[in-house]
Amino acid sequence: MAQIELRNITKSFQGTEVIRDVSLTVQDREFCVFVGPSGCGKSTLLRLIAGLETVTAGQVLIDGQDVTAREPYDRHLSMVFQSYALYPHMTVRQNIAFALETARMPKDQIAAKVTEAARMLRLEGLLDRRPAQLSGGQRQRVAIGRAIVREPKAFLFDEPLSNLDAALRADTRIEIATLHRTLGATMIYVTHDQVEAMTLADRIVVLNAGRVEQSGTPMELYNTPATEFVATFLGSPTMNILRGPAASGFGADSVGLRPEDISIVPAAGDWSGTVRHAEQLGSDTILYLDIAGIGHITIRVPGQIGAGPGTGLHLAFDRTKLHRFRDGRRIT
Amino acid sequence: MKRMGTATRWIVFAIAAFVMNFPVLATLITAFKAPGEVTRNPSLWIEQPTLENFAAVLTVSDRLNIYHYLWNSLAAATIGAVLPIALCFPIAWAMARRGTGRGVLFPLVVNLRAVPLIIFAIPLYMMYSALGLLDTRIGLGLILAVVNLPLAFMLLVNAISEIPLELEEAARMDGARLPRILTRVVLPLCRPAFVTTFVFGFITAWNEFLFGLMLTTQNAVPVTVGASFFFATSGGGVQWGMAAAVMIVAALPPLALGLIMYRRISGSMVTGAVKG
Repeated sequence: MAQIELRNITKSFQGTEVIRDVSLTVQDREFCVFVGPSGCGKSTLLRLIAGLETVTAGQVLIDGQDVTAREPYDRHLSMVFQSYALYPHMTVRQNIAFALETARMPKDQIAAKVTEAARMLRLEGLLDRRPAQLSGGQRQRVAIGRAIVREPKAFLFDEPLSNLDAALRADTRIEIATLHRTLGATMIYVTHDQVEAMTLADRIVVLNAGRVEQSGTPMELYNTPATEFVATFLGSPTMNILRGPAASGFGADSVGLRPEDISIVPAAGDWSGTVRHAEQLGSDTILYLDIAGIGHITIRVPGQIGAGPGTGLHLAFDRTKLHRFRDGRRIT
Repeated sequence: MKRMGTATRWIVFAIAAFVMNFPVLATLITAFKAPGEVTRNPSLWIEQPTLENFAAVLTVSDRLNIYHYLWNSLAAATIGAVLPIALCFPIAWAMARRGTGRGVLFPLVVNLRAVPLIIFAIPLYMMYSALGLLDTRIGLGLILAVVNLPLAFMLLVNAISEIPLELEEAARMDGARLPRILTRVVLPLCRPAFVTTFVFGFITAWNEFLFGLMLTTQNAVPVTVGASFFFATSGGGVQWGMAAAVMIVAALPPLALGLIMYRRISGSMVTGAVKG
């Protein structure tokens, strides 16, 4: 497995910079997730690592070796595409074996590796089918099989679950996490889904407009977001951001409070508000409130709260959980 | 009510098919009429059906040999249909994927189709004469390939553009270099386009008359030109029955090819490649 380092990577398409001076290191055996909104450059960054795009400036290093000018096949990386990208005219067996045949591996070894990959991904009964005869989940497993069979230096995943339904997505997420543990592989995973990012990553890299906003463990990013963007991007429901007098009272341009850090209190607390809308999730209740002088606030409380629209509530929050920002950056 | 609708549809279909195919039917019927009956009975009814015309056409004489003409046409049309595919495939890939020449070369080649072929006649004749290609099947095949080039180019550029780029990227990630990507991924996925290009190219080449007339005299005469030799075999005016028979014989090979390959023309190879 491998360490992947990006040094001052910049990428422009026809004069428009989509990646701006990005430097980061993905450690050996690390599961690193690139996350960010659509158009932030996360897929482009992955393709630059893969060698499918050429960098405008900067260097890509794999295990300390500069591979910036190398073709994808010389980087020894595997990639799982968002759209599966299975060869439609080949069977599952031929799809998985393609890279090994390209490497001119002996036929008996190819057969053994394909069988092992098929066993690991529960594809044994599907080896002679074509991609068109498979479900979305099965196709995705074939795409993963095609990636693992090569024993690459690192795996690159480009939003691999975005075409699956919610239930299958959760199952495949667990399979990928298990695969990471089993293979002990370096993995870089691109997603716009924060749940995938939080649950899979050893480290999350949040990208915004072609730059790295923050990089760290999921809990570091959740508990101490470096910018207002990261604070609002991670967490569901999204963090409440208060501006104006409510923020200046804490010596900041804006302050953030996670919905679960605000609680309902029986008597007058920090704020009083009226329920605008309530969402019962069974285990939790999400309440959207209007608070005079503050605006809209979202809170998440454990259990089932029978508060409908128009209900008045008193709220309190934990001051140690308050996030303060000036010019969009965290005040320490 | 539903049966009535179906019947009406079939009647309209039959009338349209009859009207559109009337010249073909008239030729087919004439081919089965005896020489005397052709002038006497212009209707679609045959009084005394005969195979006399076909027998005359299929009999080799000192002057006429239908098998020779058919063989010339087969050889030249095959060259004329296959060569453009072989030439255009790598060029079409470069244009579809790298954008090479898309701005200028593509419209230029496609517009070749709009140019009247007669414009090539004089320089081509001189060139062929100098190269010793006059009255050869290869020579005829080469010019038919040029005739088919724009269509082949257009169809293949479109076919390659429709293959998801991610398939080629996946192959690159799988360690494949360009030749392997082209032969193992792109080429198999272009098969329906190859069939379409071949069928249309073969039919166009088979039916081509101008270059056959201009560039051949004896050895490489194609069936379109050779058929005209049957029109007045005895020197006593046009032998309509024989002319009709030779036209039917000449039309059969491309007709059969079209019928056999019809189902393969519109097939898609990329189902299941990407999401959906």
